[in-house]
Amino acid sequence: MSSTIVPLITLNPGEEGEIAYIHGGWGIIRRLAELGIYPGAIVRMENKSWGPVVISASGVRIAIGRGMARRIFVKPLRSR
Amino acid sequence: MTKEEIVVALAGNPNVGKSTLFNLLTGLRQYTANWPGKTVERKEGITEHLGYKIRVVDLPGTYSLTAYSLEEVLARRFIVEERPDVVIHIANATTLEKDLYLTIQLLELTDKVVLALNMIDVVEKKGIEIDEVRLSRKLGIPVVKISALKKIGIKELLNKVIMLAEGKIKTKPLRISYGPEIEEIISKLTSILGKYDLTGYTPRWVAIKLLEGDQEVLDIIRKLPEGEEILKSIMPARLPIQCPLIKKGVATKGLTCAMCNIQENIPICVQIATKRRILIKNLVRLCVKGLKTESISDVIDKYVLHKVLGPIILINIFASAFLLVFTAGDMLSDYASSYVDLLINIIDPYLSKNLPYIVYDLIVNGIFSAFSAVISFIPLIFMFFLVYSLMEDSGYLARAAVIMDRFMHALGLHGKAFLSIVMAFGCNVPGIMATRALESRRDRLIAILINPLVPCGARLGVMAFIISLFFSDLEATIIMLSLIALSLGLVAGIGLLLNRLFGGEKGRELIIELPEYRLPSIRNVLLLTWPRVRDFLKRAGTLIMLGSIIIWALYTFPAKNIEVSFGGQLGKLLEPLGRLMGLDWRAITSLIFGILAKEQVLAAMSIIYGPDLNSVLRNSWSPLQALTFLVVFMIYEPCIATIAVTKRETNSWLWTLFSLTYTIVLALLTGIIVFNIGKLFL
Repeated sequence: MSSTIVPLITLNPGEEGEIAYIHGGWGIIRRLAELGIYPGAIVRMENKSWGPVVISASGVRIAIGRGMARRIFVKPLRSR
Repeated sequence: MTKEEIVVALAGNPNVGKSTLFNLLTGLRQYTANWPGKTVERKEGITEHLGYKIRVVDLPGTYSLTAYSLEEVLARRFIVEERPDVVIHIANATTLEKDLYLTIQLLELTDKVVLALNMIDVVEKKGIEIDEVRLSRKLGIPVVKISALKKIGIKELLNKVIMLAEGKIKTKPLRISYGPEIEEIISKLTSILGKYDLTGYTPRWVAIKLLEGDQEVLDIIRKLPEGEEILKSIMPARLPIQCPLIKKGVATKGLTCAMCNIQENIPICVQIATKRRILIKNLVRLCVKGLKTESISDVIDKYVLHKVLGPIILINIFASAFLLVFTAGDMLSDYASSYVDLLINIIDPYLSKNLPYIVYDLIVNGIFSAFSAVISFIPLIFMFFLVYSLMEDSGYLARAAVIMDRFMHALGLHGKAFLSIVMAFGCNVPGIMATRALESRRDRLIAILINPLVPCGARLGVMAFIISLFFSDLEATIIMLSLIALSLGLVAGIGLLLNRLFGGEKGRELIIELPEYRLPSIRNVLLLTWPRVRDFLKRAGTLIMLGSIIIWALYTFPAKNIEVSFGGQLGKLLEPLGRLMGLDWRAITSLIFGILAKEQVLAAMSIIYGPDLNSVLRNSWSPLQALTFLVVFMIYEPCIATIAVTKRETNSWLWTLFSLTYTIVLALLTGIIVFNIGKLFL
């Protein structure tokens, strides 16, 4: 099992990862935590076809900007 | 016999069915107001159960209770200041893990919480089992499974509420332990803070929020006599503690935290949020069983958010929404206003016989015409809120925001502002109302301020008429399209400018929850729509009436002759300004009357220029003058109803005045520029 950490944006639709680190300001990190995206959460890439990417975490679908998806780092859970 | 009253606050995240529950409980016995001095809607209603009169207060929808937005501060201030007997936290059972975050925070604030797990029917259909007894034991509060839409479990919920209010149920709320390192800091702070009056908050709560960097709490502390010392004393505590993820080898070294720039550390506020999250994750693991399969929403989203199909679907949905509001709305409006006209015609002879002329004139031309205008708005606003609720409740509006985000972002606007721009092409009143979809006050204010620049149907009609007088078909089409392009250019320009002025946070990005698609309940939509229409009538109606009377007075005094009336005098006074763009006092006076309603400009012009407007205008204006007139006409504030709605939605006279002033200045400047550049070529 590889333990490399990659930006969330590199996951393909259907792939999952465990969030390792979020690079961002207080407000953003807290807001993400409120929505269920926090270090340790399992996220799944749902859709990245157009503009913001859609991910799901803690049973919730959330659209986030691509820039932010580059600053969330995950440990991929499935072999790619 | 007077019934005993219980006050119940309804708290919940957006998209959990909170308003459905609120409507189910209160029905038509509800009223809306604003939270004192704020733009946020405050809804209250009455219901009865087991001999109690229950006053239900719908708290603004929030994700947490950290002072991230105004809604969150309002929600928690209500809980500590007005001390409701019970707080119902309504959570969406399908997204329990997300929603429990608010439960945990509510429990830090008050003991009297009942957790209502909504949409339990959907959860069970999915084959997911929630062990509410276990969840209740773990959280230490009553937990009730309900479905507000299917009316399941409501009686039981109210039973629990009353038992809790009577003290027959004792709660034992779950207390989170944030781990030895953070707890030590919290207990130190608590002992210092215990000496002070913390405006109703408990010392432990204030200590935790302080560590989270909560703005309102920071302000409270600063006001304490020892405030600055306390802040200094926690500064070392605010410094990050060793990052557990790096300790465990999960995160790689070398990543730098953006806030503190200290490697290998994460700040304490993030640790607090993470602690809560981990606790919730374990709770869910214990109490929720079942497989998560791909939901229907995921399948629909494959098409709705598709690169090619997505925008096509979007255009179709928005076009249908637009047509529905403005064709059906207009039809009903015409119907309504013809009734009012009929009524006026019936009482007109009676009034003219029995009243002095000036009073008769005020009533017929001032009050009645305003009344007719307000009435004709009702169907339009009703249809708009109907469509708006359908889009919002079905879950589509959030998807539209995702698709439009890139485009709208370029204008300095949020993706959700797209609806307000589209609606504004029909009428700016629903356009401005559609900014309610925006959660942040800043984004909303920008969207409200630029909205008048989008040319509404009434303006486009007048423009098309005047253009047709001066230009041939092809020229007319080109000019019409250029004028629309100009106004959209101004929308973009002013949008970006305001975004910069309001401190455009760099790298501000969309974070938006995509709720499950749902079939909206008609009852719910109607119940949401009626109070909003009523509110428009009450607040905006008064202002429209007042404005109409002022405009009436302007052209009635000192004599009912356009040349000597105050309005005409004002036009003459402003003639030097008009000359800069080639317009005489008559054109300026017409524009002044346009403030009432843009479509009234033609009526005003036929009074000012005399009958047979077409040939008079053709003879007195050059094509360039006509063009300049149209530019000015198009840009400044559309009508008194727009002003009234701006006041209602910003809840600020200052911003209303700003909106009025800047559109007028912008209109005049653009007019001057167009005229002077045009002179060089024509």
